Amino acid sequence: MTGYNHTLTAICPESLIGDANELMGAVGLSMADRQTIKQADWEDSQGNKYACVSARVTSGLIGKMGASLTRPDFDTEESIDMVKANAVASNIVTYGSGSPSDYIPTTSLLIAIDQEPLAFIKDAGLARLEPV
Amino acid sequence: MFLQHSIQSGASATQKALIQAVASNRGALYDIQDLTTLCQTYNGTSGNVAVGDPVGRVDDKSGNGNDAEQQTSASRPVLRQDSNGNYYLEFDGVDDFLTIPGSDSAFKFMHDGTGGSFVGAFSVDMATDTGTYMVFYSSSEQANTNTGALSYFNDITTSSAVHAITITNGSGSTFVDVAVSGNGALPRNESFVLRNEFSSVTLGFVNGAQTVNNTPSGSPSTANSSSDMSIGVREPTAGGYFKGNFYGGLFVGSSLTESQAFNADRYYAQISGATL
Repeated sequence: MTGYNHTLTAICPESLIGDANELMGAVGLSMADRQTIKQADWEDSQGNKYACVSARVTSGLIGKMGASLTRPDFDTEESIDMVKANAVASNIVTYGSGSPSDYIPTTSLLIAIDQEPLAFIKDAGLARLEPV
Repeated sequence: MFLQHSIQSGASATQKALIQAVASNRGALYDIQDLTTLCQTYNGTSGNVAVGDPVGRVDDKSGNGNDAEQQTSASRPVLRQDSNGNYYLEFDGVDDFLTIPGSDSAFKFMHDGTGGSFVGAFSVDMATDTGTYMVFYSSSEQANTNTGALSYFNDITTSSAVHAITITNGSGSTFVDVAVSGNGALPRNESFVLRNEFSSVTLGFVNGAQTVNNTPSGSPSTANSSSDMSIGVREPTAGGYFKGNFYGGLFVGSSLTESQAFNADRYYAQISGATL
């Protein structure tokens, strides 16, 4: 029986990608997860750019995102910036049924749990920037 | 040794023939129906993959060692099972993809003027989205050159422009149009088997019925690439993510024999819920 019973989708402002990847490393499974958030290939109506990620996750990971984070065991060289990771975690905005459409915070990570990823991203008012 | 192991692991006669076709050449074969070839983590440290689990590695069943992997947890496709009991990888269209490390050199036939062949089964789920998507893609360093792209869908919800790309000579984007008609004619969530052999034929089967039969144009690409081939994205650094389901496929640096092609078409139709 799989433990991956939730879908977690996150919208990350372009300026926050670096710090947000510290959070991804802190809650992830290996150091490779510090590269979770890649290119900002989504854009809002004002021209602000965002990166989006989505994954099947465990309940345990969702619980971690709302708690004070400790350095993961695999980070033996203490490479993850836990100050930045905790700062991003403490400012997470959760998208819910009461959230206004087209609402995206420009300085925080916006997440949705158990929503169809692309539907959520589009409901938040983002359009994909196509590769050339 | 890998080849012997693969062939002796309970494969059907058709599967054995496909494995042989790839094993004797350069290429790879990914069989999602064989769960022993899947792993949650990219380095093989996790246990068995169950339906609903992310998949971090798909072993190359041909024995050529061209395993597909994803090191980042969140970017891994998820193993699913359809109503026919067939397994597939679900790509979310946001950030999921697999990369074949070392394929920039191992699959040099995509870039050195040789060309290759691809057969695979997938279904497309893009009802809520538009854009460009790749099932198999090998980028090049030449602008606007879709070197080695093998399945590309463009804006299917609003446009009739639906393409399957052959291996081109890189002079712009030379497509082989999939012969479907009308807006959104590419079936969503239905079996789609595509066989693309350089300078020979592009065949497509929708739910077992042939809907595509084109002869590709152009010459094999000579546009160099130092990027590895990906499954599920056009370019990991630029986007173009596939939203849909991948049942399996093979990729080889040669043409297929008539028998191999027939076996491949039949097998990939079968595992995606259709009969040829």
